[in-house]
Amino acid sequence: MEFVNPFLMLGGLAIAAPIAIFLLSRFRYRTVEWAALEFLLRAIKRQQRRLRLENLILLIIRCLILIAFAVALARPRAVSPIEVSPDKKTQNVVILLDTSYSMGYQVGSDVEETAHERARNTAKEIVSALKDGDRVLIRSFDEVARIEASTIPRNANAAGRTELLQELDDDLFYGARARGTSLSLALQQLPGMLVRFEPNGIKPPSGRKPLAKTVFVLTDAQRQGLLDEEGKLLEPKLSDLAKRELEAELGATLVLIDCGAEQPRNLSVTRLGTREAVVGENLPCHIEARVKNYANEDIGDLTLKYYVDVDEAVDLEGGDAEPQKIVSLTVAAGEEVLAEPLTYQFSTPGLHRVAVHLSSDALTLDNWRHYVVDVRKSVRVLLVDGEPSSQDWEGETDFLYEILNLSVADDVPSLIHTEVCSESELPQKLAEGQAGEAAGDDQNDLDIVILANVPSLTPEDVSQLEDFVRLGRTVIFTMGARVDAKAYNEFMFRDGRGLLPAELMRVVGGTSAAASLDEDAPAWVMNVGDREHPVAGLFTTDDMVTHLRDPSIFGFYEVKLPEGGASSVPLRVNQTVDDNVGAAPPEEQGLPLLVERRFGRRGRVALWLTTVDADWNRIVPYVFNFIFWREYVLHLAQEARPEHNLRVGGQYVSFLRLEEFASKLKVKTPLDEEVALVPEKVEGEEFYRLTYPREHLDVEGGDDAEALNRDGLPDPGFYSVSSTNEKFQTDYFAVTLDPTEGNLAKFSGQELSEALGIKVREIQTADVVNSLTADGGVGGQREYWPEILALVLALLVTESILAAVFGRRRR
Amino acid sequence: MAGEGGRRFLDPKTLTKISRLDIRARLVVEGFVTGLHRSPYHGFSVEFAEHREYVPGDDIKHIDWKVYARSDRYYIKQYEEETNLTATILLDGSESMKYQSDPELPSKLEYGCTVAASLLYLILRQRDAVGLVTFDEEIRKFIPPASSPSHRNLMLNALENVTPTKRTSLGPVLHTMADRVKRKGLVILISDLLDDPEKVISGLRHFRHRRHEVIVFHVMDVAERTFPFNAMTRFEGLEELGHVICDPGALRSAYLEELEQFMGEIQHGCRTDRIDYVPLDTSQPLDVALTSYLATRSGMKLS
Repeated sequence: MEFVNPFLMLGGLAIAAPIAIFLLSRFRYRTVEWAALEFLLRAIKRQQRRLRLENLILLIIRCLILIAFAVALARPRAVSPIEVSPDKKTQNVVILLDTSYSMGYQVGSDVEETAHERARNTAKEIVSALKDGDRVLIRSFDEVARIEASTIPRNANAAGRTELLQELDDDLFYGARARGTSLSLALQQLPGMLVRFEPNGIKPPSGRKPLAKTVFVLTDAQRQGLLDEEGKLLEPKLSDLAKRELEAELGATLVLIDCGAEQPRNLSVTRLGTREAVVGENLPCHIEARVKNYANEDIGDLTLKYYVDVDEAVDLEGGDAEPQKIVSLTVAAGEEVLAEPLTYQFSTPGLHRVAVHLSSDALTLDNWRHYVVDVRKSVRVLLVDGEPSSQDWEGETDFLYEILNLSVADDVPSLIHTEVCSESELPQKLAEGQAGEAAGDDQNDLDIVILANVPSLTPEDVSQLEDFVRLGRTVIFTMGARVDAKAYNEFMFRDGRGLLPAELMRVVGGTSAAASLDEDAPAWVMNVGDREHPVAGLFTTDDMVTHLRDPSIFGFYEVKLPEGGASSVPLRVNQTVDDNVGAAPPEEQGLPLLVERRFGRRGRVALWLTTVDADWNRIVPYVFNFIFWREYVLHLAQEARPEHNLRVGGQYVSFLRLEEFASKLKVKTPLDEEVALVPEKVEGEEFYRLTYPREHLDVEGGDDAEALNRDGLPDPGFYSVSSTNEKFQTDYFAVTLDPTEGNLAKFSGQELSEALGIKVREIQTADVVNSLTADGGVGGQREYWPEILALVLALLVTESILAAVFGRRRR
Repeated sequence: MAGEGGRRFLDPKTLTKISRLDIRARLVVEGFVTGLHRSPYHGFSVEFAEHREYVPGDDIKHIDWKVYARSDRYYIKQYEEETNLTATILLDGSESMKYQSDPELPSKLEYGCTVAASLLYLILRQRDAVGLVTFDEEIRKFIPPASSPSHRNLMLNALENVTPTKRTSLGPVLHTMADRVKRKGLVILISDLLDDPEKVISGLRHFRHRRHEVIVFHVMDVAERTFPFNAMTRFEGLEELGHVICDPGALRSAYLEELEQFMGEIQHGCRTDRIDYVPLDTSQPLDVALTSYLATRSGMKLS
């Protein structure tokens, strides 16, 4: 409750008047001589108590009349969501419109009636109710803040309103997106919008009151990404911003309008991929899908359909395509399950498109998920043996060679093709590999080079190796007694600019072969340094950690990691042996055993700080070696491949060789639209760069519609890139949603208010319309003076009646 | 004198403009008499009054046989019996009687004097004896009853010289007078009766005990009957009763209840003792008083 003219409340002091009149009347009277005074005295004596009571009642009523009249003059009004600045009749309104894909949830009976449409209509209602002189800014938001149709607050006169209403229909600005939500980001960027309402577009100096502004947040109030389970902000700084900037400095009032369903019930396909890191031609692979139930109840009778190599995305949407497999499943409330996988054997190498569809619910977009499988003929690994030997198991790379060349079955060829050479043969092998890659020959194209206990390389070799990696390949350095640390640091570390991901310092522990046989030698054990690492992370489960702890390490290089955090440490070594092998030591503890970093376009370099034979450790005979090295090589080989599975908002980047060049290529989107792509020559390089969308800026938009192009990949589904040049093989990529956006758990206005520490009002969409109509629009806030005047009248009538009854009315 | 012209003088507003009490009284009586259908004087004569046809039940001794001889019809010869009426008018001249709410209307005393004068004028015209007593807390003037016309001037003079300054003490005065008026007759009390009702009734009962006929003219100001005040008022009590400041509007009903109760007590006492009680207010025409008197007079004759 607040008052339009609070100073008129001083009129309430007029209640002193009846009291004063009453007191004065005791001194102002006329005098009459009276004979029958005795009757009067007796009447007074008899009526004294009643008279006092009557006087009191009348006095109270008269005071109430004056107070009510003063209150009516002060024009009280409800603090409704529709804020009118106290000092001005006009108001400043910001509308934040959630365009994330969860807003596609069907809230009504009609398929078209989504939370997003509801929000858009509510925004229109608000705009329609604005009055001349009011100003408004509208912005859509999802996980990135959108650009606005206008950055200057718009005058909401009749023409302005019409324009705004038309803009709200424009999908370019306010259409639904396939993005996640980040109300947090939208709020962080809110001060930048609000300040534009202030004179000269600057914050009011301290001491001057900011103009009042109402911020309508039209959203489905998704909790995830904003609040944790205890209702605390995931971005704690937001509270300071809200209190200091939004409320105190910029005078903003937040109004939350939940446009989503009351109790949303949603399932998402959260992941689709292959169990195998690399899928080989004619090798069985497992296509796995995960389904999460975000609802508060178990949901059964679900069907999940697997589709493989369906040509057109429209076939999927239209439902014409034949599924490869149909799985039925039940998902418990809040659970995520791995659906029964599709076992499939791809008969041709190259890119294959896999999709799954979950039986529909009210939010359809996340029931689909798409994946492009890169089927390989083989993964080629070159082992450069720095300590070759003609005797079995004496060479540096003998163990590795055997491990990598293992076949899963006798009749199935190994996916990894391994070749051993000496360091002197390296340049030639690299040249062959590059030629193979240039020819698009998967079989001769080298994926990974492993330098095992190689003493040193010539600067020329290093340069050639750098080129090899830069193009998107991998080099693994392994250590040993022959390694010349000084030369490595000089030519390959190069103060962090070279291939080596860390600077070699000294050898820790025994370096002789005997050391590994010495029972009393100090042993080190491995532990996981990065649980998120796809391969190191495999050794975090109870049974796998045993494999990790079985081997002992007696010697390794201590390194110094370059500053800046470019290198990661997937594995570490610890000196103390924990009896409880299941309990992994803290990840930060221990010295690095495996260091990784990116190099060049997609290339990677890894540094394994002990030997790959049994010289410095007792790894070789253990299961660990078999699992780790195969998975690690496959993982690195796949990592170096062009990415074909992207996120909404991401960017497709690929490189064309000179012979693949065409002046124009085209992208076909999941919506069956064709967009032309122009390759750009990369300066100083022998290839062209292809990007889609061309400009990509995953931050706040600029000032014009052009910035929308920086929005990244807009829609989920399969995209294809084709060229008129026959040498260019059609490229495919899949774009997927952020699966967490499917979590529609809500927060309330009160929770938001408590988390931000500022007042947040919450109203329903229906109430917005009602309150707007009842208030006569945003400008006319709900005022109570008519009711109070009616009360005054009622009191006056009561007073008259009582005064007459009590005999106080003059005739 | 035309009827209306005569009645005009019965209106207190008109009478107050006439300063001389004797003229006032005469006008009242003449006007009053003119308005009557039958002369009131008949009843006070022993002379033959009229004939009327005999009706069964009449005393045959009143048949006028001479008329019967002439006309062969029975006529009753009516005689108006003369009684030696002695009336005593007691006029309250206490301070409370001087109250006058409206300058156009007479004060209670003026009204009372006019009533007294009119009555004595009427009585003397009938050649009955009338006396006058003025009193407040004690008897101020006592003019014994007499029927001579000169006596009238004496009484009128006394009436004009009443000075209301003292308190009322009605009870003792009535008792005193009851002892002093020996001859059985008519006692007329004109007063606002502002005294203890019991004492008043007790005094009046004393008269009745002496076999007097009693008429009480209870004179009140019209304001005392209606209590028309609204604004905050300081009421200065006459007869040394102090003062009170109050909102009269709030007290009107309570006051009127008190008044009703008082008048009710008086009325009840009078009825019990067969005393004629005539409430008058100063706005009422004076014929009310005279009519009451005549009714009582008539009743005395019949009894």
